[in-house]
Amino acid sequence: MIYQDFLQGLADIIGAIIGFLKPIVTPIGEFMVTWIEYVLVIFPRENFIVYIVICVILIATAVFVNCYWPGNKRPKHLKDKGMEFTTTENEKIL
Amino acid sequence: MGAPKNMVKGLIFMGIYTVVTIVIPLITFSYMRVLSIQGFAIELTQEGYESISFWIIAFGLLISGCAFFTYSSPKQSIRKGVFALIQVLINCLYMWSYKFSGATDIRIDIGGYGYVILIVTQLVLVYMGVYFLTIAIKIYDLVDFSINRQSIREARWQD
Repeated sequence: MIYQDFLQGLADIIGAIIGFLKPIVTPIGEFMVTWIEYVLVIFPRENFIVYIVICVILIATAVFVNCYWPGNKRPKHLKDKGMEFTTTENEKIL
Repeated sequence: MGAPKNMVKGLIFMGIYTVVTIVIPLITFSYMRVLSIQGFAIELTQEGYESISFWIIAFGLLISGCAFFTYSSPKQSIRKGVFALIQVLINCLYMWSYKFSGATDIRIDIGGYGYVILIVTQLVLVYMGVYFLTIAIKIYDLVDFSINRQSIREARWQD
């Protein structure tokens, strides 16, 4: 019974929040739906291979990028030239 | 943080996103297909079950891949900002695919008594509105990371 009351209370609170936000958030949500429906047409259906390939490409690219630019130290080409950062002037020299 | 640590972090988050976006929804939908509560056979008659599972797995894979890229990138880097934004956009598509595949209009048959239809479209719409704000924050982050690139890198290299 206490559990039911708790759930009812929780549902009432969530309902009140959603009801309060509805006039503001729903029009934005409808805008989101418009572009999402437009984009979803592009995505292929009934073919997992495309998604698996994209996922693998993302992972492989991330591994490659992390190996070359881990981000915790200056890139080697800057270090070799004795430069601290990639500024516009430094880029011209490079 | 070096490359191996970045990648371990990316792997951990990819695992989390895989569980949250693929494993848990699939188990939930499979479990809800035939459920019995206190002697009443409650059956989730979901004609688009196959469609739901397809979109869950498809977008779940994309989200997990993006999560690996995002979380394996250095803190406050532009690439982290870009992929975090892409991930949020794909999350929107993922959320909407529930509606798209019919998962937001769930018909539950209660053995011998009739049926109940749960329409949660409005909830998804509200959630989409909230997601719009998340997109705005991610765009702000990206602009911030780009403008303050120099100082962010300086601070990161000194750590």
